[in-house]
Amino acid sequence: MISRRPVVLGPDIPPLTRRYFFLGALALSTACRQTFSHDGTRAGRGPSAVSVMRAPDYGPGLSQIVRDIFTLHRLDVRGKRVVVKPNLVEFSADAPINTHPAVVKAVVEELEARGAARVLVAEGPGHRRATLDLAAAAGYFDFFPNLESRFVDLNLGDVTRVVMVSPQSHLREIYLPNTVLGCDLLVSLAKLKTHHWVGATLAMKNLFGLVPGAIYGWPKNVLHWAGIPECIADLHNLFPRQFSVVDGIEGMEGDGPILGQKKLAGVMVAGRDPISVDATCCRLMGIEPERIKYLQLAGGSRIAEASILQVAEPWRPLRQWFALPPGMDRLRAD
Amino acid sequence: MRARNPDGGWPYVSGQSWTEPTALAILALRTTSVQPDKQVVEACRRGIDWLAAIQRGDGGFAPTHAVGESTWVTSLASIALASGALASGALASGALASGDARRRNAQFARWNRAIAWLLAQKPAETSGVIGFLQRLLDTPGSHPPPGGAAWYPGTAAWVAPTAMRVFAMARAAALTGDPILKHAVEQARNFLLIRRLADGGWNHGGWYAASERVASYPETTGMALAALRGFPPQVMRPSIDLAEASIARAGSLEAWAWLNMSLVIHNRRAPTERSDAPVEFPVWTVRDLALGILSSNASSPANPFTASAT
Repeated sequence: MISRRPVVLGPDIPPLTRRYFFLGALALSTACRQTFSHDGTRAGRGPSAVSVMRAPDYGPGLSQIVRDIFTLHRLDVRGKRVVVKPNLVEFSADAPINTHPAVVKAVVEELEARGAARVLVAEGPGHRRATLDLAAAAGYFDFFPNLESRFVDLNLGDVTRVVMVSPQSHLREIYLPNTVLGCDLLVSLAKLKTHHWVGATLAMKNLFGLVPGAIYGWPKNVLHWAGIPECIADLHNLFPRQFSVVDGIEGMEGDGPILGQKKLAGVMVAGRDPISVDATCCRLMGIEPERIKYLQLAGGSRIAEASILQVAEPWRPLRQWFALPPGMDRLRAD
Repeated sequence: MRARNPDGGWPYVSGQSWTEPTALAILALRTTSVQPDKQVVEACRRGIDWLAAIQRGDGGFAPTHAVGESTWVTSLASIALASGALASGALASGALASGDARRRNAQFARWNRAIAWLLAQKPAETSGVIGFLQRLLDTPGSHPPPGGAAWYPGTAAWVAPTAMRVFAMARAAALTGDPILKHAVEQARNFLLIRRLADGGWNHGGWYAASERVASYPETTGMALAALRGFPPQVMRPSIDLAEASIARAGSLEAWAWLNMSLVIHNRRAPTERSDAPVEFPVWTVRDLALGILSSNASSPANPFTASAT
């Protein structure tokens, strides 16, 4: 499979070599056994494996890239109920605000090809109430003509009260959708963007979309009052069975997550530990992850480069210096 | 009718019954004809019973039975209760003797408690220690206009729940003549005006709404504009013009419904005008459907959002 892998890359990006891929797979094979329990949950020991893959565009080559990601991370989804959570924010098919539907489609198809029992796409946008209309405007129906048959609006679904154990935020309990509480694997399918309040919005911040708007409103202001970085850390802790994929093919820099500018980064970043994935994304954006508060709160030593097993491509040659949100120069990596 | 749950309430899509779609479904059904058939009457009665069961001890309404907190949906529930009591004549004729009358009076009492809950709510940014400290430190957004409503207790005020508060309070003020309610409506409307954006519309309406870079949303523009009935045309003209320009590209049935009702309220479009009826918008939720019916029946005296009592 590795030798047949077609690699389509832009002219200024050196290709992913078979050597990188093979060594990455070998290293990851060892790391996965150390880091994760048999069902894919985080075991909290050993280095966290994060893959960085070159992905120049949303064209036909994307499916193979996603396949390679899942192969690298030895993701076993056979018989599992999987929820894929994209980042849907605004009515736009052009601005790099939402997770691109081509990425969602490639991930869903790969999960199904690997034997997942059920794959749902689920999202609860924080600003707009008409979620499926928002998905339509973002081009999702062009890729999933019957999206509604597998889509769950997390803002409007059945909920259960969850008591938080040792929360970082002021929240002591939170209502969460049964769709995500009952799944075997949550795939956080985020977008590589800067964020004007927390610096960067990636796989972990993407979980804000799990919080039901029908209870907390649009925006989900409860999370703001309880502390945004703290709530990101709390939500992360509530979902130990995650796999994170960040769509960094077209990212957003500057005044993100909505008003920023498009930044062509040409990468897909993935891993089982959202903290390690987000820390790597920050490095790719020229942001110092140790200065992102929610990563500090949730990650501690897991943010450090030494604690992350980097596979596929090394991140340094792929780093892009994203323009930072106004007033956030302190986040810039040295 | 087919979307109704066996417990008498309505879900958004499927599953648990929720207060918002239940209240909107009741209101929509009541606008469908002057003499609704028995099935519709029974569905509304059972819907009101479902709402009564979810009313909490504090007078407010929880969004669904799984939630132990009264929230913004209290506004919608109170409108549904008021419309039911009005339809039966209980508010106008006072206490009656029959079993039906007792039921209606109980409905009136529930409505009173809901209005009292709404009156007692203060967004977090204007109350308590946090509000005091914010004003002391002069943090951004620390001097919000009074009268706004929060989605959830203990948080800030936003446009959509404030617009719903206006509909609920204005109806209550018109029915009771209570000056406190009238003042609350005035304050809430003032909040909406202050949170209006440079383009004449509204988005969700945070304190940073004044930023020139933020754009309005059609659905919140329609809601806020509909709640601002009776303001001078010269004040409302930019918003009305924007609503008229936006309706063709509303993006959702919910947005179309609110924009259409707002244009009817501000006499920019006839209540029966359906030149851009929402056939192009898919119906994803009971909320969408109910709002579409309400907007299509904007001329109905039973429509609580377009009727002159608001």
